[in-house]
Amino acid sequence: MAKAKELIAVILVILATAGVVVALLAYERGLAKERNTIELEARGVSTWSKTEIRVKKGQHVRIRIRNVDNVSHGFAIPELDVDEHIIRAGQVEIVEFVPKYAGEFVFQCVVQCSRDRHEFMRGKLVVEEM
Amino acid sequence: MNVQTSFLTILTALCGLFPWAPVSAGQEKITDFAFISTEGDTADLSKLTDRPVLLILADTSAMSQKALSQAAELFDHYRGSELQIVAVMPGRNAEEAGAMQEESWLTYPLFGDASGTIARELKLSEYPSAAILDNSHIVRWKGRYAGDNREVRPNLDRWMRQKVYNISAKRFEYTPAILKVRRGDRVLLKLTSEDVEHGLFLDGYNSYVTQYLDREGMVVPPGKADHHIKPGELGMLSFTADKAGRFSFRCASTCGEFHPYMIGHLHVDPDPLFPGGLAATGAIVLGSILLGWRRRDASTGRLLGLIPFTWKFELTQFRLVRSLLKSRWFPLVPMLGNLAVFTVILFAAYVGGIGGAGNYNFGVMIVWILWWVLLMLFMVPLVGRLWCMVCPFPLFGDWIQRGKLFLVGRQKSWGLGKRWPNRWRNLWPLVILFFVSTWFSAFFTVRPMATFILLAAIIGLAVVIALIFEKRTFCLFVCPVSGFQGLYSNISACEVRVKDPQICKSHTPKTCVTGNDKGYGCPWMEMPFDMNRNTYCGMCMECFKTCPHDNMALNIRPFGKDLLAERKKTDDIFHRRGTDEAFKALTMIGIFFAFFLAFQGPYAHLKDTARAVTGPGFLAYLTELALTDFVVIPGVFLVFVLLAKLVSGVKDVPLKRIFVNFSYCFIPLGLAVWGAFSLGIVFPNSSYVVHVISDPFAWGWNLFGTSQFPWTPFLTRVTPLAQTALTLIGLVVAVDFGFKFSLQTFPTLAAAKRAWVPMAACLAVFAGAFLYVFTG
Repeated sequence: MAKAKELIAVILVILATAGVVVALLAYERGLAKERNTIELEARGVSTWSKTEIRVKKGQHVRIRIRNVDNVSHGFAIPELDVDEHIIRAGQVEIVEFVPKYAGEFVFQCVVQCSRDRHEFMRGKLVVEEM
Repeated sequence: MNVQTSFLTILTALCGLFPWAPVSAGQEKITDFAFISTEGDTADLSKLTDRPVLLILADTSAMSQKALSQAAELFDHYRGSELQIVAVMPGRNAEEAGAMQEESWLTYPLFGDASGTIARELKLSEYPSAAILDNSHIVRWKGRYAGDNREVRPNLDRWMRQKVYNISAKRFEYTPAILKVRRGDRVLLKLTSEDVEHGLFLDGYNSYVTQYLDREGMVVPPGKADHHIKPGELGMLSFTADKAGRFSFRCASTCGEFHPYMIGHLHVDPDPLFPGGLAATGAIVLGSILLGWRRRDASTGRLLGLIPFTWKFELTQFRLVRSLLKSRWFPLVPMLGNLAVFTVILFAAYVGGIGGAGNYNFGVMIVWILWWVLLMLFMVPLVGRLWCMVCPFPLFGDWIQRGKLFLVGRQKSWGLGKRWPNRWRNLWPLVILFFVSTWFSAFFTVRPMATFILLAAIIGLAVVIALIFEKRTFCLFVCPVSGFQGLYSNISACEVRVKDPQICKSHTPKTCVTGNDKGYGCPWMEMPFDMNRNTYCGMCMECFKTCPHDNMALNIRPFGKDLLAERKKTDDIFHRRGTDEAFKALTMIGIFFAFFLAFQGPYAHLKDTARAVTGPGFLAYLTELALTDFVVIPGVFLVFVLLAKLVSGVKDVPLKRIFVNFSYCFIPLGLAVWGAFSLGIVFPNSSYVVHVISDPFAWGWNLFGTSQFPWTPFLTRVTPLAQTALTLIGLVVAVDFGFKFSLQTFPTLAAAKRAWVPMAACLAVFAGAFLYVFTG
């Protein structure tokens, strides 16, 4: 009986440490499966996690942007009429649109996020023909 | 150059200087200022409303660049205010205008009262170059340049009874950061940003600066305006300063790691709080001196002369409490729960990285908002080392040393099991370690990765120390936050003590020290059978398990009982007052000042030194910390101690004894001001906790449906009042104990009364300084 209690305590320690981490990761994984989004992060030093995103013309696009930086960022693709979305620090926004034209388009940060690097916070959206 | 062209000149110039200027010639809606064209010699003023009007009759063709920029600056300054600015072109020709002096465009405005109606028609020929008009008076230009806008503005402010502040925000700094208005003033705050999105929330008035003009210079419809001001936008907040006091204003849009510390002050004078607080301080201290002076006995037996220190309420009289404390699951289970929370904290702090927003990170928010505030406001004052009871950090060290987690294993620590050196068996290591950890507080409290490194280092160190040294050496002499918890716990309303000392006397071996099959000998290396101070009792509850006589008690008791425990018969190293504890108490005061000024003050340069923008700046910050903690605060205290010795007339009481004994006054006072400091964190910022429990890693989770909960400061109106009240409560307790310390220190009642006068004055000086930083 005493040994069983010791074992329970040990199991509880494992649950409280490794168990918690596994549970957190598993939960995120479960959510990720349902999301069906293109993941994009706005990161520190005015950078996007991806500098190129490929989509298909005429197909609905869902980009989930997480701002993991500590200032506000924005997202827009003016040439495809994707209006400004502002993603504040620590927040998540989903941008949805249907690209009407094929080609290469610039997506860019539209909120000044740094005095010198903001202009360079851009990436390429490649819209391929179906 | 015709009139119309001249207008275009000034407009173009203004719009060039201020890209958001929305006005164009002929535009019908006059929102802020207007340029009115003239027909012949008459200006049509019918577009003006009955707001106060500043009319500038200008001859743009003759305007120098300087005059133009002065005008533009003035227009810009007052945009959106109660003042309506109108520029009128008198229609002079260029040759005539050219003869005008360069700097003659603006002049001192002379104002009459603002009553009366606006002149609807103006004969411009009467005003050769420039004049300023208020509602009832047209003041002719004096013919010479008489001052720049800095001098003009106060007159205008006074005239329209609205103070206008143009505040420029850049990362972690408002310029100006200190605003002063009179109660009843109408105030207009206008905010622009130099770098990234900023905002402004005004404490007490519970108001935000909201978007007014967008980047294109268009007025943002009220329904669409938010309180994030981007570079190029103009934000405004208009209000009547009907509440007096000092109010912090703080950034409302996460703008970088130091965002929560981006703070300015608005003073609405006259403020009764600071002088009131000082008066109360004086009254408390004088009252203490007078009451002391009338004393005829040297008894120290009652808290505030009311509650006898012998009073206690034994919680262990209840069977439920007894069986809980006897169970080996306690405090293991809360510790494990805490361990799970800390796993999430570490995970969050790690994924938050260096650049993640601390205010949206579970790790940073739970540790530096929830934990710190609970610690300083509840755990330490009410229970003592409650945190140490449930802290998960020593769990692994204990496990390694004991070989068992739940059961009772080895009594002698596995590993090297060394004894911590005698000369360091005091609070000095913790004084130093906590001081060193404060060097980096500008990183820990805002950057997730810094929090991770700190916590991981502490956990790692706890294991390493457990392998080298015996028992809870880590908790006793290494953990940076152990020192102030231990020292401040002497005031707490809770204690672990023996019920009947007689039982212990005859009980051998002392199982609370040696351990038995029910539990471990005191891991904190205390003598539970002989304890009279809380400093080194970690409330691990092992002695409840090891005592075969059920002789351990958990008591509720009067606050501060242990402060009077001067020296024990056993004279154990744990049971004495000393310079280590004195310096722990004094450095906590120094750290308070340094932290408050750097993090909650309006001084951007201090923030920049603390967050190590430059190496020399950071060195200056460290020097300032060291000087404040170890020279200035102890130095000021020492001056009063010397005075106390002098006026006591007693020669054979060592100075050190006076210094040490009176330093314990800074325990109630220190705990009170740290509690007050914590209020300045909890009221504005605890709403972040609501967000992070739902989305702990900024991954877009919504566990409890609160991830969209916005940052919501609350009770900011009462913060300064509550801070004043807490400081004064701390002072009341400090003077109560101070006089008792005087009685303990000096051999005669008369000497104690005399010595108390400078010491009471000393506490008044410190309390006054605390009130100044909170409300002055």
